[in-house]
Amino acid sequence: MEIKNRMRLELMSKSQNESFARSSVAAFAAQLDPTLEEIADIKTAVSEAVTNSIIHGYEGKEGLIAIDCTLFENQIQIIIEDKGIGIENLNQAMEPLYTSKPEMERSGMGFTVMDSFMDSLIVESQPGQGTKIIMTKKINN
Amino acid sequence: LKDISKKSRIHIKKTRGKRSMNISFDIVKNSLVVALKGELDHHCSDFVKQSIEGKIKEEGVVNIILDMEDVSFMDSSGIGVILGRYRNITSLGGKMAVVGIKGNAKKIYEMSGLGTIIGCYNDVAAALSIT
Repeated sequence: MEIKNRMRLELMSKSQNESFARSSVAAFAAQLDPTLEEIADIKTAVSEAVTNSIIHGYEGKEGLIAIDCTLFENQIQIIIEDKGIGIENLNQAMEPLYTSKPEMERSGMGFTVMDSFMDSLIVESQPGQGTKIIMTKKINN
Repeated sequence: LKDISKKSRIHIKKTRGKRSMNISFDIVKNSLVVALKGELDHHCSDFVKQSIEGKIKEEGVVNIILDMEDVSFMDSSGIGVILGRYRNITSLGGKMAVVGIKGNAKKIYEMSGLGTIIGCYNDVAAALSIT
């Protein structure tokens, strides 16, 4: 598939960057002329992934989150990567309603939302190394 | 409803570029009407939680009506905030209703199953009729 455009962002793991991250990716994705619903889906999935990195990956501590976006003819690929603590049990983490932080009122819906709002979701994680999320969504322009 | 709103309207405004969420409160009989305006994400979730919990204690209200008409974005952090308030208020014997949820917020709300637990209404007056 021919690459139409690409961008990379690196953010500190601060919660005020959640809205910056999702708005930036949405603004970049707008080049594919998506519908409002597709834009909302992308914003939500990015927000979930970045929030996961901040809360779980870095556990509120300082770290960097990299966002890599590639636009193809009618598809966007978004890679969100942190160098945090990683996920010990990926199957459990991806179960709907499972959360390792119930005391923080986390809903345990993050991966479920990413999975249903995007067309594909791959999660790669190594305990102690970090987590990489690769998501794609078709945009029928 | 309008007359009561005028009397007891309390605004907590947090802007200054720090937050993208405004909360305003109305008290109607024994219900706290919470109107959220902005984007409900992890960044503002503690602020929303503490504002609502503080107001409930302060005013001694029994029920919560959460007006989400002006929520332009919500991710799963919002589900945690709504579910947390629902658990707290029902454990004290109160009721909770959600008003005007739409767009992507509605999609997540329904996906999470919250829609089957907490009634969703078109306007505040309809929500108040159940309390």
